[in-house]
Amino acid sequence: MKNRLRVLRAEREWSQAELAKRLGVSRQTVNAVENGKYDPSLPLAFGIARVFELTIEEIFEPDGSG
Amino acid sequence: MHANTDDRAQPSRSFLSFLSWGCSGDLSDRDRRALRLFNRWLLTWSFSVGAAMVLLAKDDLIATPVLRWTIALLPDLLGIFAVLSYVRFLRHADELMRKVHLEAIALGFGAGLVFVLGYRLATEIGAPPLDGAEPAAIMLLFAGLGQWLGMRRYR
Repeated sequence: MKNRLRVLRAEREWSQAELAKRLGVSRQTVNAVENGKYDPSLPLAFGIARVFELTIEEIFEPDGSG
Repeated sequence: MHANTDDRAQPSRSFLSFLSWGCSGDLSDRDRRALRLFNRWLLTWSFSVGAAMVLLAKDDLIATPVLRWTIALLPDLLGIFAVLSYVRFLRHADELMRKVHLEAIALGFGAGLVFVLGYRLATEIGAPPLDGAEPAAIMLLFAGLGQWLGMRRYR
């Protein structure tokens, strides 16, 4: 799954550690999501959307057409 | 556009992180407390198993059957507390860490099962019988390997 997490985070000048603290997860988790190595759970995806004041669809995009 | 430079900063490695195979670098306070509790139970359990083995080996020192049974069973009780504290840690852990730990447990369990069943067949063709500790060692070894691989994969 593709995502815009790194761009959105950079726009706000947040470090991975700062975003992780806002989300209540580890920095490794933020890093893994950003790099597309790990797809977040639904609660975490909602948490990310809430932190950036966007919808999930505006942040995450499926790899395939579906 | 670039994110802040501290993205690649590596958290300090404590003894606690060493005990959890290096994957507790930036734990939340709650995870850190839960992991610390688990590590304490694990150490207590391990120590009790070693102490019980030493004591039970001395037949003349502790001859009362009730006392011998108590010494033999006490480590099991401590082991149950260790397992429960690990389950509690997993239940509340950061979701990526939980995934890594669960995959590692699956690898350890699978390796232990393959080893036990495989060795059972090997005894049919002359392999010496096991004394019981080997499957546990295999499971621990592969669980540790799985955790190391998991942390590398998601690093």
